[in-house]
Amino acid sequence: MNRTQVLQEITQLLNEVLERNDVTLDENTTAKDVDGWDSLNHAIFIGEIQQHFKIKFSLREVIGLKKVGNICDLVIERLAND
Amino acid sequence: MSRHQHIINHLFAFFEHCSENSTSKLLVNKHFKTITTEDSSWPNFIFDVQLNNNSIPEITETISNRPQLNHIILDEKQLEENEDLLTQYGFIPLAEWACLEFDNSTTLKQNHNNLTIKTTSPKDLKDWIGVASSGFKALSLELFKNLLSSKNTTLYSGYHQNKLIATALLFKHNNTAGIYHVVTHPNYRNKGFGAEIFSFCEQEALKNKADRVIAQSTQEGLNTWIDTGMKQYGNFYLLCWNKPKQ
Repeated sequence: MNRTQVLQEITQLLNEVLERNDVTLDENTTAKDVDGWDSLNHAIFIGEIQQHFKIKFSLREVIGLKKVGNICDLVIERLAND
Repeated sequence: MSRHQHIINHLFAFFEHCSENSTSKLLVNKHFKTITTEDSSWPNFIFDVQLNNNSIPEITETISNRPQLNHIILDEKQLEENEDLLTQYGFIPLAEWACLEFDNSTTLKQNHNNLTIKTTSPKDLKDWIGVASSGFKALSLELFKNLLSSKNTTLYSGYHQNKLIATALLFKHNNTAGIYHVVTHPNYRNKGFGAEIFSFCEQEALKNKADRVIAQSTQEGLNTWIDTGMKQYGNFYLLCWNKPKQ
């Protein structure tokens, strides 16, 4: 799976979590940039990503996820290693 | 008690103090303690958590029953020792905060004199809340109104060209002064105003004979506070839990 596909899929997942269909993400998007992406939805979103891609993140890795690009990096790295 | 624990306890004391005059209550469980409030602008954190297989179901049940109560605070050791348990139950870390204490061996830096800093008056509170809310979530005017008359708490406003652009709050508890709510208006950031009002609070705390001056900081702001004479003593973590889908 390439980076563009990962970005598309996590964009879809965030839209589902926020019950919206108009959220667009790029590498530099952070939670502050998206209405409704609060701490509770962040927790759900991270859980959904792990479930969707069938991967697991460590707690320390999750702390480092400051922007969408970091999430893409981690998903790609984990998919490659698994 | 370690410095690190002392700093986390001060944060809890601050929340407890803020909640005294609002619609809130302190819940002490054998596994944790928390302040719950109906004011949705105020964070509901769970502190002093004893993590084990028995306590986690109680914590998640408590969170389930109070939708807004969804953050727990853990120190570094708790996070490392309980990683499997926390992952198994679906806790997600949201933020890493540094515990800071003023290093008495350093010399306080002089103010840059770009700000005029005053104690916040009731008429300025609305502007203070406006700026402070830009760094956290929208804060409640009612809740902070109570703090203006508290003898343990002082709110400071920093003015630049007669406009309130920076906020800070000093809370004294057991001879330790904590610096909270240091926020600069988004249009005036990265110009040293935050460091200036923070340094002012350090000076005020020492002038008022505080034995210790402490603060907590996100990783982004850490170097700025270290430059004002603070020293880091470990981290603490904010974790969130959400009820799994059935």
